[in-house]
Amino acid sequence: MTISHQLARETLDLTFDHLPAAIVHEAKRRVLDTLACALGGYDSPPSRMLQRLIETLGGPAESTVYVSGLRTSCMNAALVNGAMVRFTEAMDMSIDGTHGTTRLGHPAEIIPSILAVAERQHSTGKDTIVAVVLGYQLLDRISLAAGGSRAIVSHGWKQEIRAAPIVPLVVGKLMGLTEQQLVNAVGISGSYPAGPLGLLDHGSEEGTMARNLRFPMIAHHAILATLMAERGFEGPSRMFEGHDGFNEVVFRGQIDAARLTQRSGDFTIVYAIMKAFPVNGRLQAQTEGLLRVLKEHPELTPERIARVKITVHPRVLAGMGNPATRRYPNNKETADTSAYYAAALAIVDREIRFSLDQFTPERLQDPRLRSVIDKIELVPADEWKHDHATTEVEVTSIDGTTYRCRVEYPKGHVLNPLTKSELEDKFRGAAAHLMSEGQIREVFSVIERLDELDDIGELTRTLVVRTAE
Amino acid sequence: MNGTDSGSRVEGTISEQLADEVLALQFEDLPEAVVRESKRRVLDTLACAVGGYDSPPSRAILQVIHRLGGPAESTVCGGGSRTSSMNAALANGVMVRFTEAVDRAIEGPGGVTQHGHPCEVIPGILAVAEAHHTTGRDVIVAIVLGYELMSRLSYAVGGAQALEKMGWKHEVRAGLVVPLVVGRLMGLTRDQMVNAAGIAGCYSGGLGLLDHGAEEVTMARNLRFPYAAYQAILAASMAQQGLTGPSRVFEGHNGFVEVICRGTMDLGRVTARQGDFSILHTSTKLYPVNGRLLPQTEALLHLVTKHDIRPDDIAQVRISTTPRVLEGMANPATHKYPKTKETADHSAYYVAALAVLDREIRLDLTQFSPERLGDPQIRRMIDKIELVAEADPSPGQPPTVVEISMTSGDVYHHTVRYPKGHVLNPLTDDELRAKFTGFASRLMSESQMKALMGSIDRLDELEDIGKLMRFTVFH
Repeated sequence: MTISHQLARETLDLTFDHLPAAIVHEAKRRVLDTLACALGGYDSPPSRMLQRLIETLGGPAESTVYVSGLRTSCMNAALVNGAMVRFTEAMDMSIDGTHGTTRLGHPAEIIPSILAVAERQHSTGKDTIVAVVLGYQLLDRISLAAGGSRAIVSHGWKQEIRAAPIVPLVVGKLMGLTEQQLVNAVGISGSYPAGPLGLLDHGSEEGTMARNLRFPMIAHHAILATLMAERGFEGPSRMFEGHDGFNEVVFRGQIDAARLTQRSGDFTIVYAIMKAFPVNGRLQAQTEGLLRVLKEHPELTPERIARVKITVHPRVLAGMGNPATRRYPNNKETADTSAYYAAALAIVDREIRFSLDQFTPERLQDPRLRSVIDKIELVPADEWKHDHATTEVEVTSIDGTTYRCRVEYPKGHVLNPLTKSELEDKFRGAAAHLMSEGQIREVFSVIERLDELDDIGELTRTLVVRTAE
Repeated sequence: MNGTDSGSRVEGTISEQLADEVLALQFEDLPEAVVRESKRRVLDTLACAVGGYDSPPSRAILQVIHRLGGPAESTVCGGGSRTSSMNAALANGVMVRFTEAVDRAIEGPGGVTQHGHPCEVIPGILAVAEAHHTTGRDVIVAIVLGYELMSRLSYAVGGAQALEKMGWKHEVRAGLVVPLVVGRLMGLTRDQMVNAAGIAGCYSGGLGLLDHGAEEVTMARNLRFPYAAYQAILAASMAQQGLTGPSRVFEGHNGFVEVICRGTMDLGRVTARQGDFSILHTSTKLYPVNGRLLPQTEALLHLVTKHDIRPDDIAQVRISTTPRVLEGMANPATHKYPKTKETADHSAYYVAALAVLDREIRLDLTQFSPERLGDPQIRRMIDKIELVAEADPSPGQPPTVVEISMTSGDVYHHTVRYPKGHVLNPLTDDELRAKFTGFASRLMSESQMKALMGSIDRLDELEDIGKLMRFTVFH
């Protein structure tokens, strides 16, 4: 049996009954966390642009654009809702186990595609939960088999390249495809990856709006491939292992095929770190550390700070501390992956909000932020071999006193998870400028009952802001 | 690293330079021969589109796009439904590719290195042009640019085979070229065009697996360029709304050159404007089979007709061809007894057996039906065929030598180096029209074919390309 066949069979075999209550609970938390990100990015320029675009593209009114309520094709909904999620830079990220040190990417990004297709199919909440769990499971599995995000990046790609073969399986299951149709869909979609190129988020390149398209663009394509397979289109069944196939060309033969097809009762959805701040995952600890110091020392106003020293893993420096591209970022996509900018925000504003109003063009040019940036020094801690984002911050005041804080497992880490109310506050932070508290609570309540919904449309309808209010 | 960064910014990035070039070319810059050749390319490509109209992949795509809906701005060839330009580019592109009768670029008239099938850029151009009511002249300029840039990217990387060695099919170029060309038709600014190439270029795919000598070829083969065109039009539409993409998509860290081309692309070559136009260096196929199988087809048809050879009297057919054919089109496990149309038109054995048994390779594609693929007569003939590869030291394209040994002991042989349709042995206008008729006559009336061909003849006078597209709809 080919790898695609094995994955297709696994996809079809998983049912809601296989899921322990804790996994169902975790899936609901993931949906809430991802929708928080979506609402946070709703107003963003790329989201606005994509919304205008899909209005002109038209299509069947089968899936909902969050907030606006525009009904469009499931492909288009996956594209625009997915870009909203990515814009916030607040989606979760997987690691390989509770104490894992290998990063596997952002599995949450599959949720907008799942919701879009599930809405089209009028899937139940239970089927949607199964799809979410499966999406995390298979996306993580590819990363694990490839050696993690960093290994994928070392081949020149961003980790969203995983989506090309996985999205068709997950949404194909929702669409009721047969095993052979799933294999064809994987073959079609997976044969056209060549992306996203690593260029889209590289420490020595400026980030652009296209950063937000990484997963959504592949998902859009993958759903198209799945629709083709549904209509009888055939693709190569040996997509993974074939000559000049996914493994050989994209991963230079480095994928562990046995690992890729190894089923496990251990659901990886529990191993995804949630973000407590809308900045890159590696900047969570420095943000938490700085905010803690400032909270304990209200007298440390920006003017009274002489120096800020941030000791980080060398990789943070390479990816987020390049003075040429990251010191004075020119756009949102570069700023939220800038150790300098994120630190300056924490110091000047004493919070980083999910409403994203701290990343506007005006703030990017804010002289107060710039003057703090010039006080920041990033220092690599070469001895930190592990891959989690331990960070030490040192704030020195103008009178010469130094305050230190070291954060190993920032809030949201698997070992330090967000509580229910913290997660709800994250959603509130992202949504409060768009919807009433009453509607926000309604979203919480529908997600709470996700496994009881007869039609997932009930959830997507709750995300539409009623302007009459 | 940073030194080269600032160096490249002085002249503009590669995509900025290409966008400038795309915006600069005017119809008045085109010699008459180039205009004429563009029209021939449109006719040849629409012949393929009509030929692939009722193929299984085309039918599947048509069902998908019917359900996807969208603005009624571009025509689906044959059926005539109107859909978005993205969808039309996808559907019409698949029809074209299915036939396998697409043209082939070489580098200069005597070129040996293959540079892909530039005509596949045409369905996307026509779809976008129709949506924008573009004039025939602007369409011609877009086509010339499409051929030019597709070929130049291929020259710069060492040809289609060099890309294959890196594991990609040559259509990976399309994601970088199509956004610029259709972007011009859409009226994008230079920056928007650069953004569009940056967006699409980061996702431009096509694994070598899709057409590999040791893999069965599936319907997905037909999507290679159309998928890229679909994505390119989407990216251009995004850029038009203001979305930004990386301007250093070619030369940037982990950009196209580094990741896809393994650092081997000659960027000077990519941006070097040439004196002539590469569209002039395009070979046309007379038969709907892989280009490397054209010489053997022509030689076999010549022998069986000339000597009235009956299949049963044949003891052996020996084809002396290039190592590349042996490697890519003769694998006993996948290509000797092909199971799919897409493998069969790439099978040196199957195509040879057809030529010997049927004494013709027709353009109606009925010789690639599931029934024929399972035909025991073809299998028996395949078993009489021997393929050998002989290195030919002489310059230019190596010849194919076909030798038929009869049970009687007679031996016939024939050599073809430049088959009919090659740049050095081009189809006349009448022969090209005959190719169109060969594909279209089962689906279009005589008068409709005439009207379409007449419209293409007057392409440079058309006020709105939509007029031409209406002629592609079957009555």
